[in-house]
Amino acid sequence: MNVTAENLEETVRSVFRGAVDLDAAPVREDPGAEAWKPWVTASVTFTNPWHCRIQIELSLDLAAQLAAALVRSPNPVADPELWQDAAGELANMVAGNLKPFIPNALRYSVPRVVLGSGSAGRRVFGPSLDRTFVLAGHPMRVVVTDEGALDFPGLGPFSNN
Amino acid sequence: MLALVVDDSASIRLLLTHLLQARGFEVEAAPGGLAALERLRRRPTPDLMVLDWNMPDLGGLEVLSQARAMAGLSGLRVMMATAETDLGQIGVALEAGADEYLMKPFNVNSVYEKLDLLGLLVAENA
Repeated sequence: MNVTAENLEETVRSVFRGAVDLDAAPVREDPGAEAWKPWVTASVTFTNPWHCRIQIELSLDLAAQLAAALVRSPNPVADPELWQDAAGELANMVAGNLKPFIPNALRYSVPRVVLGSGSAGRRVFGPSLDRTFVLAGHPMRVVVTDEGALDFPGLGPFSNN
Repeated sequence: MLALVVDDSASIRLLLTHLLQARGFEVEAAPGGLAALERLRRRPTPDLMVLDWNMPDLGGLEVLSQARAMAGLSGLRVMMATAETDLGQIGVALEAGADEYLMKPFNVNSVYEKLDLLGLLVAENA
């Protein structure tokens, strides 16, 4: 199996529909960095023996909306820690649901959440797949990155084995 | 009935607590595997444990294994909750002693369906 743009888009849509009842519509246009500042980056890393990172980047405004939707709260959630927690949990769900498409993936980390874009610090060892979605009028980027399988060439999220 | 919700995500603990309380459960929550085991050593014994698989301090599978080895917990029903959709993982959890398996993302209906399968679903609170 292999991670393709199609199964990434379908997985993201399915996870967000199920978790927060929102449509994550893929868009081709980059909305520009200003559209989602300040933002949150939540990531989960697969290991076995290569590293593959699943990362979502979204604005704090969207993270706040997602937190309220995730916990089924009719009122806004005021706690920024819960916004970040919700972003991390959604990244965890995307990773878990993508796992069947990632060859040889056995383990994955708990979510790591930081404020600010992960793009600046992203280690690019290999190919990556990058898709932007719009939810409730806000952009969200999802990135699958092959972070290296130096001792095991040919393995990773974009291999065909 | 008493439920113990074990998940390192505060959002999921809140959500499951809300859903279970709406069906009459008294709910306690633990933010990780070690806290869950500590709680299981005390009384009263929960009737249900909803247990996350992937947690930083102690994974759900290890918690399940230790819980099944504890005396006095034979009546504890365990529902594993995980984002993994790999069917092989379900088999692993069931072999380790889980009674049911809840895939994330889950909705209200899927949680209550699993409770019904476990014979734990009670009428909705008025």
